[in-house]
Amino acid sequence: MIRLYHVCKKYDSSGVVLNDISLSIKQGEWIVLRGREKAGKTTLFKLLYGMEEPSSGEMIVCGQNICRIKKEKLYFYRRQLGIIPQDGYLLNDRDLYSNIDLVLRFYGFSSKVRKARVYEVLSIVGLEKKIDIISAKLSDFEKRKLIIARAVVNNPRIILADSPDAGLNLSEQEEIYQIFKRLKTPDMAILFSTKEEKCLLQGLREVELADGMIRETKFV
Amino acid sequence: MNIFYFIYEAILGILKRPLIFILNLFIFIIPIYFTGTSFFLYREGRVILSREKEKWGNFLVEVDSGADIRFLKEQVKSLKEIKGLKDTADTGSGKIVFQADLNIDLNDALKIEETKRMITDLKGVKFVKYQGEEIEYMENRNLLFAGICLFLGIISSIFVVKYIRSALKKESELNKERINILELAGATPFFIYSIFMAKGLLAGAASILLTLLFLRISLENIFISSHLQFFIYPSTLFIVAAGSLFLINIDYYMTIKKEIKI
Repeated sequence: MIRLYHVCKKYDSSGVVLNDISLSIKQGEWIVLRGREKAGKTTLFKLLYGMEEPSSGEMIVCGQNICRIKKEKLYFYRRQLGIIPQDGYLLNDRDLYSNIDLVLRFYGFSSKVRKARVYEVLSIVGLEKKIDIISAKLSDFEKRKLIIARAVVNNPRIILADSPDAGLNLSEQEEIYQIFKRLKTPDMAILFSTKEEKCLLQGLREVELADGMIRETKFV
Repeated sequence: MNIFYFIYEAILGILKRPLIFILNLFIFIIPIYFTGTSFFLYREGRVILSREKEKWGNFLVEVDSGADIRFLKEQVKSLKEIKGLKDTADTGSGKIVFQADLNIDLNDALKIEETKRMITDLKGVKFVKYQGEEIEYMENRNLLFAGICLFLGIISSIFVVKYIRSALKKESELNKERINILELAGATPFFIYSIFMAKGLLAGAASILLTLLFLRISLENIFISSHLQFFIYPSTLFIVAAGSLFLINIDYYMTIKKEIKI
């Protein structure tokens, strides 16, 4: 589902951030991308969702070479992804329903379908009782969960989660992992990055990224 | 329907910052006001720019051959806008005509059409023609003012176009959360920016309505008055616009400061 071939990303200001990354993620696979601060995780995610272009290499995602994807096709490509950015935004003056409903608007679903789907994803992340609350009133952890719910509301084929467990305590991290387990469908691929030295997720392929390069790939 | 959603979101955005919306209106009004004024000045050649005690001219009233002319004349004479009637010589065309002199100050130019309509509506009246005693040099001055207004209209349009560009940039920055969320979710630029477009259209429509109102007041009360008053309204608008720009900037930086980023 995701195939990266010798992907490099170089910035004029900060030099090489990703160096010769080759990685393959199959349909239904869940991969943990582990790396410290500035290891290149966020850059890799930005390349995957087409926010930035690689300096060299090829990236095939869902059968499309996203290095050569036209801008007008990029929007439709992103609809197959559930993007959870590290610095995700919320509409702080709107309730939870509006925050999620916003991204369902352009799919042309009826209001009944949208309502049902919003309620469904909020139930998965455990925020269904706060559906009418203004998002500014949520705790940081709840905001994180809301961003996850919003990212998966369109039933994506791939989830790209950039450090969703960053800055959380152990029980909160565990809850985040459980949410992802509940969200995961057999066909869905997940790329889950973490800064944690010891990730609580077990039985998954773990790729370690350091200084822009893949250091190690192992099953944990 | 997304169109209702866009309008709803645009209204919500306006309600969130109503003052800025009102101030924006004034900025949009300026070029429409000036170009509108120049258009009306050019079109309404009769409008006199100085306050004078002279009266307007007269109407030539053509009457149906079967009409009771005496009764009709009495009816016309009873109008307070008419000071007297004069019989005119029949030119041999068989038409029955008389002249009705107007009792309307030069300040009340708009009453001419009103009076003309009232006479036309009388039973037995076939045709009414206004024979104004227009003053040529006044018309020339009208054209000069129309030219000045057009020039100001063009200058202020350039200013407003520049302003709209910077306002759009600021609007995008103030809505960066929404834009970011929608971009990542795969929304097309059309969907993302339609809300701003709806907001702009609402502001545009409101400005046009307000400008028409201003123009109406201006035509009735200002342009037919003294030269000094003529410049008071545009100058006031300019001051309001400058103040608006200042306030918009203040509002923008205050909002940026208050932003909560998670």
